[in-house]
Amino acid sequence: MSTYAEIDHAVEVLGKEDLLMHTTSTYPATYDELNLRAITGDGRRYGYP
Amino acid sequence: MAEDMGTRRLLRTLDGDSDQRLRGRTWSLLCRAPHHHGSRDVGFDHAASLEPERYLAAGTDIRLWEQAKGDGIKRVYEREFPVIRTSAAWAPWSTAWSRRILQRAAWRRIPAVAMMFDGVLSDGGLLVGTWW
Repeated sequence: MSTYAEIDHAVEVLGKEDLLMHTTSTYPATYDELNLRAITGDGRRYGYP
Repeated sequence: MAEDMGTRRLLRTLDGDSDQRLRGRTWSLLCRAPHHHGSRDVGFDHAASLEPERYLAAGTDIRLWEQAKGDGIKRVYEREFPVIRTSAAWAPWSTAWSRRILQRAAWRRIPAVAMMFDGVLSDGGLLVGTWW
C-alpha cells in the first residue's frame, strides 16, 4: 500500500541495509493484487542482487 | 522463490530430506493452490502427473500463477484505501503509546521493545506489544 515516492523516502531515511519487503494489505488478497513481479522490480530499483 | 541457505538449512533440519526433494517442496509451497489439492507435500505439477483431474486443474493453476505475477509496477489498490485510512488514524495514538512504554521501561531500567503492526490485523487494527 505504498507508492514509489513513499518507499524511496523510507529507504532514504532508513538506508538500504535494512530488509525491504513486498506485501499486499488486502485480505483476502486476489491473484490480481499479488503483483509478485514487483519483488524483482524493487530489487533492481534499489540495487539488491 | 529464492532458496536461500537459511531456508534450505531450516527445511533440511526439519525434514532430513535431500536437496532435490527440498527444491520440489519449495516449488510446491510456492505453487500450491489449496482449493485444488489439500496435501502440503504435493505441488500442482506433481499432482498433475499422478491424477487426471489434477492434470486438468494444472491449466488453471498456471493461469493463476501468471495472474499473480502481475506487471511488476507498484500501485495502491482501491481495496487498500480503508486500511490506509485506519492506519493513519491510529498512528499518532500508537506512537504515543510506544513512547510511553519505552519511557516507563527506561525509568524502571528494564529493556523493552515496542512494536507496531498496522494494516494486517482485522482490517487495519493496531497492536502494540511489549516484551521484557
